[in-house]
Order: sequence, then C-alpha cells, then structure tokens
Amino acid sequence: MTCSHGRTNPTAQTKLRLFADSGGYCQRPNCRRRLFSDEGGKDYHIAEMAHIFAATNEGPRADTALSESERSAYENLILLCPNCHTEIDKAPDIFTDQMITEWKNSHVLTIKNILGVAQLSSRDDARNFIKPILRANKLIFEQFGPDNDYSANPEAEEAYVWKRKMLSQIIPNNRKMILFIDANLHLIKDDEHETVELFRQHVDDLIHRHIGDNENVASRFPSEMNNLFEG
Amino acid sequence: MTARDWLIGILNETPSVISATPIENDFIHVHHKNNHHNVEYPPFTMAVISTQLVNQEALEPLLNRQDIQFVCNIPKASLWAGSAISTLDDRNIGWGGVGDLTSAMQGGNVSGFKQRKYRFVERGLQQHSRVSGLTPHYDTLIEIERYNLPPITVALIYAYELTVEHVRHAIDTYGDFSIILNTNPNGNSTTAATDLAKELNIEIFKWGAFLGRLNKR
Repeated sequence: MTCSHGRTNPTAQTKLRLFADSGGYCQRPNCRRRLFSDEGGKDYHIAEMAHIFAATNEGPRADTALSESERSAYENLILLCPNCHTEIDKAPDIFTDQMITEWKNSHVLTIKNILGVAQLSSRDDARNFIKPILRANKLIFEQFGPDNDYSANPEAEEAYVWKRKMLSQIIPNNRKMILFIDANLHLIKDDEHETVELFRQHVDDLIHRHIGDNENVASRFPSEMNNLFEG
Repeated sequence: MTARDWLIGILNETPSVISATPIENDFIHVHHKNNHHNVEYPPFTMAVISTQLVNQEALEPLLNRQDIQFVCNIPKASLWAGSAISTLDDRNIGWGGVGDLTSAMQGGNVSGFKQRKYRFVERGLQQHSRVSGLTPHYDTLIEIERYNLPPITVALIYAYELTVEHVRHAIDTYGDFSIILNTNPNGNSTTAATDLAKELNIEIFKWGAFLGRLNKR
C-alpha cells in the first residue's frame, strides 16, 4: 500500500480517514474500482495511498517546500487502485495536483450526498420528491430569468438578482435532482434516460457558464424533465 | 393574411385593447385602456410594415398620413436605418417591433416611443460625460462622437451567448466597426468569439465596462 516513489508515514488516524473517505472505492472519478475483495474466499484489499505532491523531491509533482509531515498528511494523500496510482505517477504533467485534489474532494462530496439522498421504491414517491424542486426552479426562471422584459435594458438590476438566484438556488436544486435521480435510476423508464442525460449536460453547462470559465454555449433545459417520473 | 391583419388579430386578443380596426392597407386604429385603473387612453393610429430593413423608402408611403403615432415593423430580426430613426423621431412617431408596441401602449401614449433596446443605449450614451454626439447608422450600429477623443463606431448585439457567428454576422452586416457591445444584461461571450474578435481588432464589452472604455482612446 505504500507509494513506490518514497516512504509514506501517515498516522493511523490519517489512514483511517483516507479509507473512510474513499468509501472503499478508488477515488478517481472514472474508475471507482472497489478496493476490497473477498475473491476466492480470501479477504484482501488493493488500495494504495498515493501522494498528491511527491514523497521525495525527485518524485512526481514534487514540491520541495513541503516538510516530511506535510507530505504524509491526509491533505496530501489520495486512495487509489494500483492502476490509477501507477498512471498518475507516470504522467504527472497530465495528472496535476489540482486535478487529483479535485478528484478527492469530489469523491468525498459524492459519498456525503449519496448518504443524504433517499432511495425510493415508487415513481409516485419520486415524482413527489422532484416536483417541488422543478416548480421552484421554474418559478425563479419565470420571474427573474433572461426571457423577461427587463433584458432589453443592458444595465437592468434584475440581471444581478437572476445571477444570484441561479447560484444560490437553481444550480444547487439541479445538483440535488441529479443526485436523487442517480440514486433512483431503477425508477427511470427507458424513454426517460435520454431526458436525464440531457438534463445532466444542461446542469454541467449551467455550472460552467455561471461558475466556471463560460467558454462554450450552454444547452437548454430539456422540457421533458418537467414530466419526469410521471405515470 | 397580411402583416397588418395578423397584428390586428394579436391586438384584439390583448386584454388592454378595446378595439383594433383596419384603415386602408397598412394602418390600424387602436383604442386601448389601462386595465388596472379601467381608464381609457386616447385612441391612436399606427402603421404596420414587414421588412428586413426599415429605411426612408419603406417609410415614405406611410408618412403621407399626418395622424400616425407609431410604426410597427413585424419581423423580430430587422434593421432600422439611421435616417428612418431620425425621420420618425423628428415627427415624434413611436417605432419598434410588436413587443415595443405593447410596452408603448402600457405607458398610455405611444408617440415618441423608441424601440426599447435602442432607447436604453441611447439614453445611457447621452448621459455619458465624454459623449458629445450620436449618429445611428442603424438602430444597432452607432457612431459615437466624444470630447477630445476620436469617434468610435459600436455594433450593438443582443445575445445571451455571443458566439463566433454573431461576430461574423455583424461584420457581414455592418462592415467596419471597432467595438461590439453586448446589450443583453445576462449575456456572455464564448471564448471562441472573444478570440476571433481579438484577431480582428474588435473589442467586446458589456455595458458597465463599455462606459469606462468610452473614456479611453
């Protein structure tokens, strides 16, 4: 489990925390390989503690200013499967410290949100969960959105209200709906999957537009979402 | 169905309109009220046109009537030539699209009403301390004269997402200008649009930053 690019001396507490935060899965977003196995009746794990900044001054993503204790600290470690650990250390220019830190933070957040998301057994219940959230977002859009008359005025103050509500309500509501849908995919009908994926892209575009670099055009809200889980 | 008759249909379905009746080929006599206070406004006569470019030639047949108070051009994407704007403003005739007509009617008096997007920009520029004069070549292309600084020509684009296509379309339509002003208060420019504009020595601004730009060479 130690990193081949230098010794790691995390405390027992740090190890516990790393494992707990991983939920038992590789923390790379498009991997998420299970780190524990009981294949063939043998109980073992394949987890590896990988350094974000290298354990040594010669390792990948080295930061010579870090002390040994900082290199071994929880903040500088991520739990990965052997493949992902090898990969990030072979290509540190691609797998930067910012990227790896974002993986870790996102993984922790995902687990936290999943634990807070109900898994329901009926479409009616799912509909009852999602309907008020859709309604709230729709009201904000209708009252403050960019299609309103105020938008003829380039210095309209309503634009600031729209932006604020987008960040404080619409985007968080959308994230909540995505998490809920992902936890209740078993209730999604075949002909709703495309709508869900269009919505996911719409949410991603919204986040990028209002919080990120806004480099590209954003997709529209798929109107079929208003009927999700109906019937 | 003519554009005029189409608009009559729309107006007669508008709650604040008491009646909208046709006059000759291109005109409508409108009687409307304030719904909240149930007060009737003075009736007015308006002209209806449907053209991509509102210029002197398009206006001439209409302006023989002396009682016109509003000219409504139906297509949303159209240009109003600077000369047409001047003519209408000189005669205190309101002008704009269907949405502008509705806004004008809400205020009671449609005379002198200017297309909303143009009006906001014109007012803001007239109040700017560096601006000495405005010459609209179109409602969306304005030459701005400035005190102690050379004039600049600004293309107004109203875009939620200002793209490469917007930039290229503006160049095709207007030719030479140095600034694009995105008048949509919620609008942003894509990175590709910003990069293209930079290559072509065109600056892109939102309103607030544009006001500051007016103070610089």
